[in-house]
Amino acid sequence: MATCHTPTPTRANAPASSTASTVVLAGNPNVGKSVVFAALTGTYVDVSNFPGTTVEVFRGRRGDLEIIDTPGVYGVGSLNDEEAVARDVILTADTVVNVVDAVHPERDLFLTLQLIDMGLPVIVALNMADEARKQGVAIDRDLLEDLLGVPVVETVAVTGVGIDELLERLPEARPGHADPALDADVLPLAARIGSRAEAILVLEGDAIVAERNGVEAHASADCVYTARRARVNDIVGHVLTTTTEGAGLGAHLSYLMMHPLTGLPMLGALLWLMYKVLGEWVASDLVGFTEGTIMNGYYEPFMRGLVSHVFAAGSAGYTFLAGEFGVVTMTVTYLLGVILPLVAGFYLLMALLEDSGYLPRIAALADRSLTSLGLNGRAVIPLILGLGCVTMGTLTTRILGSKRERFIATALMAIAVPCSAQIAVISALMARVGGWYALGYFAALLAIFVAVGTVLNKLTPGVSTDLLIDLPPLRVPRIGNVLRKSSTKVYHFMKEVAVFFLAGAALISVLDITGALTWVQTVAQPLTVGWLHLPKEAATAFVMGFVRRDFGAAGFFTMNLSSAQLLVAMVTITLFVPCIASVMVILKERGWKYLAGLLVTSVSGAFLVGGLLTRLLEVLR
Amino acid sequence: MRNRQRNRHRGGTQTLDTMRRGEHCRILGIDDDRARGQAIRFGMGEGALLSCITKVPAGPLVMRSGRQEIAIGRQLARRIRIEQLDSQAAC
Ligand SMILES: Nc1nc2c(ncn2[C@@H]2O[C@H](COP(=O)(O)OP(=O)(O)O)[C@@H](O)[C@H]2O)c(=O)[nH]1
Ligand SMILES: [Mg+2]
Repeated sequence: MATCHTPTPTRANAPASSTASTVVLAGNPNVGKSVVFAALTGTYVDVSNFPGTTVEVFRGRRGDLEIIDTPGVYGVGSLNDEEAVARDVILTADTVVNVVDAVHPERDLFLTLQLIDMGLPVIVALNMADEARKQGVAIDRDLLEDLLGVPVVETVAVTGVGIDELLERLPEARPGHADPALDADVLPLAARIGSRAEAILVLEGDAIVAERNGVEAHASADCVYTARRARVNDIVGHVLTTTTEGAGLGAHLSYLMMHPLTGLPMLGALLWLMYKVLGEWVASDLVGFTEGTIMNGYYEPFMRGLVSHVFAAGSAGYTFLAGEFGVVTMTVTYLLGVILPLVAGFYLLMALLEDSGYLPRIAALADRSLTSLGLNGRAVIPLILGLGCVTMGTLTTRILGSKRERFIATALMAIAVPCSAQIAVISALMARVGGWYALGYFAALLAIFVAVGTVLNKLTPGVSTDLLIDLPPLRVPRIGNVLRKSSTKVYHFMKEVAVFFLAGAALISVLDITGALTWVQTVAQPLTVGWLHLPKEAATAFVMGFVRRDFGAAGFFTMNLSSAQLLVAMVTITLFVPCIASVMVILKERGWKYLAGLLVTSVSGAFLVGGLLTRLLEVLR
Repeated sequence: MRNRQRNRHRGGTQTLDTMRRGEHCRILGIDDDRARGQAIRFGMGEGALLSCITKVPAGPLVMRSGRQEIAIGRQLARRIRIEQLDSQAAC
């Protein structure tokens, strides 16, 4: 009686003869799936945001094999979005390559046994074999193969060891020794819904899979999990021998990173370094070269020359294409000369952080402060990503455990977190004024961040979840991995953002040509001139700020502002509405009521704070 | 609240948040549905042996089980029932 039945993936039962099409990589986070994927496919061919989530799924090919990399999970189910995405990809697999970290078999084999219980054709890549050896962890591969009933291949993905063997033995992937105790419940259910894999998930209480198959989810998760855990411990007891206790420098550093006395200075040093690299080297030195020398020096004059062959300077067509906000001049300069170096720098740093294992330790350190804002330590991940791009941060709020946390984190980012492009423009502007004003800017934002979070924590109904995360070992990041990760992300980010940028510039040009911009400037005069004591052209910057936040900040470049005016302008534009791209994402993720509330709050809040700051600075002077 | 009262009734049942750095314990139960499913995946379910390697003041506890390190928020730690074991480690 499978009502709302989704097409059940067809799977070849005889693995050796299958025309092996879809190979899915599955494994815990940080076990080397992506490196195995790169080794198998040569490169990242396609990145897609899985429908409805941001959890990334990477697809590639090798010969006639389609190879898919999934997000790291500790189990398949619907505990969170990553699990649900991994589950749906795994259900389409002809072969599952389960990447297992040889250093942590107790943890990783839980997923392995689940895949095996699901009756999927599995082959295990026992990765990090080098690391295991170094840490004195030995696993009896042959015995493990016997106990699991599926092929086990030792690999060191980063050096390519074992990849050939993995490929060679791929056709040997087969359903392993599932827990016979499950059969009594699973077999009838599997017969009814036509898939053993889905039957197991239903038995484990996966409500989504149950609904798809028109059956009730069972409530036996605890009992299935406990039995599986016992089997894992039993297998590990048989195959694992440890010779040395793997503590040492890494463990000590890990402790120092999480203890506030040492951890806070380290975090401070990291943020300072990030600012130094992004805000100074990239934003002024590198961007000065790419934007100033290359784009403004060569590219723009060249394009203006070209355009002037077609449209007379000063005509509407010329203004649209090559005027102040020209689609082929300013927009391209901005995208390639400013945003690209910045976003590349940012993603590079993020990939380094991610690869080193430092991020989850920051989460542990920040947990305490974030709980007073109604979040838990996990929220540092969207928040830090929000510093890169608020849109990206907002999408990543999906990793948070409750609706309440997503509600708070989204608002915090939209209101008080400047994105990297904006930070760059602001740093460049701030470089002209005294250091005190730059400090004042960050202090004002921090105060607003804490205030907004504290208020939302009081007002938002519901309960927040608690921190429960796994801390991966600290590692020296691999440069190849870092470059690969960051370059794909930069590419996809640029691709997405370019459209909004072009549309935004076109809109501003049209407003400019039709005279609407002057009208807005006049209408907004009481606010800009009267209340904020800024020139009336500031209205243009605010309109532009809605298109892209950094666009808005850049609008102040050409105005001759005093240091105090600049500080007011920067604080106001930061608090002012988020850019169009994040507005769309917020609308999609949180709904229109939330968006409307957020827009009203941030616009009124921005002008209120800006006006008060103006008066404060005038009193101080 | 409810849990704490129950702990008091049982008398002597300890919760994870009372652990100090260097101490060892065995997990007796996790009174949180979501966390229980997650913990058992990590290998930190009922019966698991843990040692406390860091306790962030007023913040999370970092526990080690095997070679695995897990950070557990303070609130959640109050809902994890444990049995303290003799600690061999000098700290
Ligand atoms: N020593 C060692 N490190 C590895 C190996 N495979 C992957 N790594 C590293 O482990 C980290 C996580 O790898 P990644 O592929 O991003 O993991 P994923 O989260 O499973 O996709 C990276 O720093 C890799 O360089 C291996 O076989 N040996
Ligand atoms: Mg990966």
